[in-house]
Amino acid sequence: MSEVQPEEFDRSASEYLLKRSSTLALLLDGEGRVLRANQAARNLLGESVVGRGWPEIFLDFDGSLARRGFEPGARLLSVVVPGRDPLSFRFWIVREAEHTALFGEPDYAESMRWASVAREVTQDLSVLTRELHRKNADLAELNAAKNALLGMAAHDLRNPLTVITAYTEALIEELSPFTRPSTLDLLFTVEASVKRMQELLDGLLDVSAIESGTLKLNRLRCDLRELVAEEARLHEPLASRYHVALRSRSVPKCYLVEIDPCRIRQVVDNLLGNALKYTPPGGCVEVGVRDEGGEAIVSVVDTGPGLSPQDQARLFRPYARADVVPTHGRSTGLGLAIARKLVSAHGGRIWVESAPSVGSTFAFALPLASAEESKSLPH
Amino acid sequence: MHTSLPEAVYAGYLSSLLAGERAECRRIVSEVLAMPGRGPRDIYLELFQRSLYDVGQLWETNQISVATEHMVTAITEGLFAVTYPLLFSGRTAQRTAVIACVPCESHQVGAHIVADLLELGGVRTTFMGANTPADALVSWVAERQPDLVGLSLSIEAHLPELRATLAPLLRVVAAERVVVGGRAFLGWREPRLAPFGVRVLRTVAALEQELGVAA
Repeated sequence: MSEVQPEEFDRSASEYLLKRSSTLALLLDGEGRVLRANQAARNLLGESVVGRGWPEIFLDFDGSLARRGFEPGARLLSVVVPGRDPLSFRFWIVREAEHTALFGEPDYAESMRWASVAREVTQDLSVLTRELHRKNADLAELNAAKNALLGMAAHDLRNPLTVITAYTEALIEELSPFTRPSTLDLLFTVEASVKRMQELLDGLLDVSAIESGTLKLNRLRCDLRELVAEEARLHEPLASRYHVALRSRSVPKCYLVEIDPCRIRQVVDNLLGNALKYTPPGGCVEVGVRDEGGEAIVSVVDTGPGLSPQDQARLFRPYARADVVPTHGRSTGLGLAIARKLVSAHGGRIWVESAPSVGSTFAFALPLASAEESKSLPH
Repeated sequence: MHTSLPEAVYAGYLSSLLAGERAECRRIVSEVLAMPGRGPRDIYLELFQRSLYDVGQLWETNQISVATEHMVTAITEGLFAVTYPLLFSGRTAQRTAVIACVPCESHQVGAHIVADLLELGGVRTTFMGANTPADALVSWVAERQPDLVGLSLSIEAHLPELRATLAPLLRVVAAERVVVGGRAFLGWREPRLAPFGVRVLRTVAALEQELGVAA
C-alpha cells in the first residue's frame, strides 16, 4: 500500500476545503473586502461575494466588529444570507499581515437542540390536536343529548299547558258575568302567562328540531311578495295598537321561491313582531321585497332605538338579548336564533344593519326558484 | 373485497413526503379518504404505517438523513388530523384505553397510530404521547381505571424505564389489563414480560385481535 505524502495530503485537504467542504472559508484584505471565497461561501452568500465589504456579509449589531475588527481566535458570527434568515456560524479567525482568514462551521450542537425542541413541539401539537378533536366530538354528543332532552321536556310540558289554557278560557267565559273585573284580570294574567310559556316551549322545540337535524321542510313554490304582504296585513292590528305606522313596499313582481311557507312565515312574523315591539309610538315599520343577484331579499326597517355593534354581533345566538328593551311586550330570546336557522335551512342568509338612535334593518335573502319564472307582473 | 391502494398513489405519497411537501401529502390523504370503500384505516395502514417503515429502511441504509426522517415523522403526525373528523364521531364507546410512551421514549408516532386505530375500532382511547412521566400515568390510570393500558417502547435499551414505570403502575391496575409493544419487541419471543406478567403484543393486529376490534 502506497503511503500518502504529506504534501499530497495538504493539497487534497486544501482542495477539499475550497471545493467540497460545507465550512465557509473567506479571505479579507486590509480594507475588509473579500479577496477569496470557497465554494461553500459562494453557495451560501452568492457568487458575487468576492469584492464585497464585510458589513454586507456579517451582522454587527453592537458595532464591535467595526470598532475592533476581526480579532484572531474563535468567535460566533452571523452572516446575511440573501433571501433568507441570517445564519450563525462558529468562526475560526486567523490574521496574517493585513489579511484576515475566516473559517466558519455551523453550530451542530445548537442545531440539534433546535431540532429536538421543534420535534417536541410538533409532538405536543399532535397530541393536543387529537385531544381537541376528541373534545369537539364529545361536545357535539353532549349538544345532541341536550337537544333531545330539550325536545322531550318541551314536548311533555306542552300537554299540561294546553289543559291550563283550555280551563282558564272556560273559567273566564263562565265567570265573566258574575265576577269583579279585578278577579277576571287575574285570570287574564294566567292566560297571558300560559300563552307566553307556550311560545317559549314552541321555540325550544324548534331549536331542538333544527339542531338535531330532524326539522322537515315541506317546500312549495310560492310568491314571496304575497306571503310577506299577508303577514304585514296580519300585523296591522298590532301596529295600530302600538301606534306604529306599518307600511308595505315591494316592487310589484312575482318572487318565486321554493320554501316551506309556514317556516318562512314564522321568520317574517318574528322580524315584524320584533320591529313593532321595539319601535316607540309614532314610529314607522316598513316591510318590502326586492330581488338582487338571483336572490329575493325581504327587509324590515324600523325607527326603533337601533342596536350597538356588540348587540348586532350576538343577536342571532340563542337566548341573546339586546341591551335595548322593547317598548311593547317581551322577548323569549330565541326568535332570531330560530329565524337564522330556518333561513339557513332554506339555503339563505339573514343579517341586520343598524345604528343606535337611527333604527334597524333586518333582512334575509332566499335563492329565487329560477330567473325565467320570476317574470314581472303588470302594475 | 378489500384491495390495496393503487401503487402509484402510494409512490406519489412517499415521494411527496420525502420532499417535505405537506400540502401535497394532505391532498393525497383527502383523495384516498374520498375513494369509494376507503376509510381512515386504509390511510393509517397503507399510507402512514407503510411509508414510515419504508422511510426507516431508507435511513437505515443511509439513503436519507436523520433530519429527513424526523421531518417525515412530523409531517405524518400532522396528517393524522385529516382523519379526525371521521375518527372521533362522538359515539359513546363502551371500552376505554390509554396509550403512552415511557419516560425517555421520544418516538411516539407508532403509539399514536395504535391509539387512533383503537379509537377507530370503537375504544375510547387517550393518547399521552412521548416521554409520559410515570407518576402522571399512574395517577391517571388509578383515577380512570381504563380497560387497557398500552405502553410503547421503540428501543430495547429503554427497557429499564419501562420496568420502572410498570412497577408502580401494577399497584393500581391488574397486569391482565396492561400490554406492552412497539419496535423494541419485534424480535421478542416471550408472550409476557417477566417478572410483571404483562402481555407483549408485537403488532397492531395482535392488539386489535386482543380487544376484538375491527381488523
